[in-house]
Amino acid sequence: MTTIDAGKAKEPAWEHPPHAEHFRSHAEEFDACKIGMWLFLTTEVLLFSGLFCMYAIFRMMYPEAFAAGSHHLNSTLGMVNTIVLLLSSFTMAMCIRCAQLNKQGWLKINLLLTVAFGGIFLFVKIVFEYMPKWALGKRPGYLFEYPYAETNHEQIWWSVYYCATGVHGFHVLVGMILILWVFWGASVKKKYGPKHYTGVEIVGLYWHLVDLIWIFLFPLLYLIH
Amino acid sequence: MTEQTNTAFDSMDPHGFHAHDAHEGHHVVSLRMLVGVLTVLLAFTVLTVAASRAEVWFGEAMGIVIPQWVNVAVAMSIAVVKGTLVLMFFMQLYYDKPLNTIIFSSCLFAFALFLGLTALDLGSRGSIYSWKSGEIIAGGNSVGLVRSVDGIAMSQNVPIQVWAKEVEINELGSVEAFEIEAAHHRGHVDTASTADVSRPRAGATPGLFDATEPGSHEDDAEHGDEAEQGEEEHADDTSDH
Repeated sequence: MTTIDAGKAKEPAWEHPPHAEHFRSHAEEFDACKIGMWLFLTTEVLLFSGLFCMYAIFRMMYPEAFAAGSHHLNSTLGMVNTIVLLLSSFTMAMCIRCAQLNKQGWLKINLLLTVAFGGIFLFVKIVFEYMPKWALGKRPGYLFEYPYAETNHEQIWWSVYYCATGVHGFHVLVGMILILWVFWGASVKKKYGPKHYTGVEIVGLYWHLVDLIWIFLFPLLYLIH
Repeated sequence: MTEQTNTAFDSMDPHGFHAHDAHEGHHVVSLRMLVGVLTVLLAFTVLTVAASRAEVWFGEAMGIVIPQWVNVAVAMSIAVVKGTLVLMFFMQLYYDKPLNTIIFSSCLFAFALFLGLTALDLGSRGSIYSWKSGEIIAGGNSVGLVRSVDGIAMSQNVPIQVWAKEVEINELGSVEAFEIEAAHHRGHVDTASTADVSRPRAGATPGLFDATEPGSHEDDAEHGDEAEQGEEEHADDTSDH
């Protein structure tokens, strides 16, 4: 490096991304990370498959409780939340595109938008759905206190509902924290760019899976009666 | 890392590492595609809610009973289309190396087995309850078995072996004829196998077609004496000896 070069602007961190010693290149590391993430996503699907199976079993056993129970849910709120999550998936996909094209400003805006959509989802879920229902006694299992139930076994419906949406909601929360971590990397460390966006990609896959799960939970809980 | 400075590059390496591959596989999805996919997803969301409400409305306003599977099929088909779109374009499986798709598909296969076999189990419980509620008798109770041979039908709470014997007695004409036949088939040994001792039982009577002394075989050392006794005694199929 000559003295003339010394005056040039410092090159961004993503220009020569480091990779772990046991990988021969950053590209190889990226592929390995991605396969690892997909493997993790399969375990996530298997986790949720237990919940879907629980839904299937109880629905086959007590169809009338499920029919009555799903009418207690507001499908408009469910639709709003579905739209919010789909929009967040779109902004997350945009994050990767922005990183690939080195649009640093839009990358940060899209990351924050994704977190905001996740926040709206949880807000609607908790404030407009969980809290009023809980207050009326529509609670899972032995906590059930709703006096106007039309069928027996309705507490089982609420168990399935709180369990499935609760585990999903927890995943939304974890996803939001992960996206904030990516935002910190993008804004403070400025480490994501066309040659390095592994973190954005991996967290993005996680976020899309959370959306994917909701795409199936929404009709199962709100629309099938 | 460029090709010139990459010391790890080995053109003889069969594992396919090539420096120029570095960012070749990374597809930048066009804005047009992303917006298009989002639009379709939102449209399908509105469609599935509308379909669900239309079914309820039809049912209430026109008194038409729409079978439940229609509701399930419509909602789940739309969800599958939406999920596929998210996987292919937002999660970029469409542009990705096929290995990631294989990994995820195998997991969906496991999910299908889990759900499918559970549903199969639960769905067929109804036909098992009649067996479970039946009287427990040795040889099975024939519940749910419908067979008839020579006009003799199986009846409930009678073991299938007893029925088979009944059919044979009917065919041979008398109990005596059956007992003679049975002794041949049981090898003239009135001790059945137990859990500890295995004794050959099947086959024609040894020496049956020898001109002299039918049944006077000596090869069965342990039960030779019993084998020489009258056939009628052997007809009692008792394993206690």
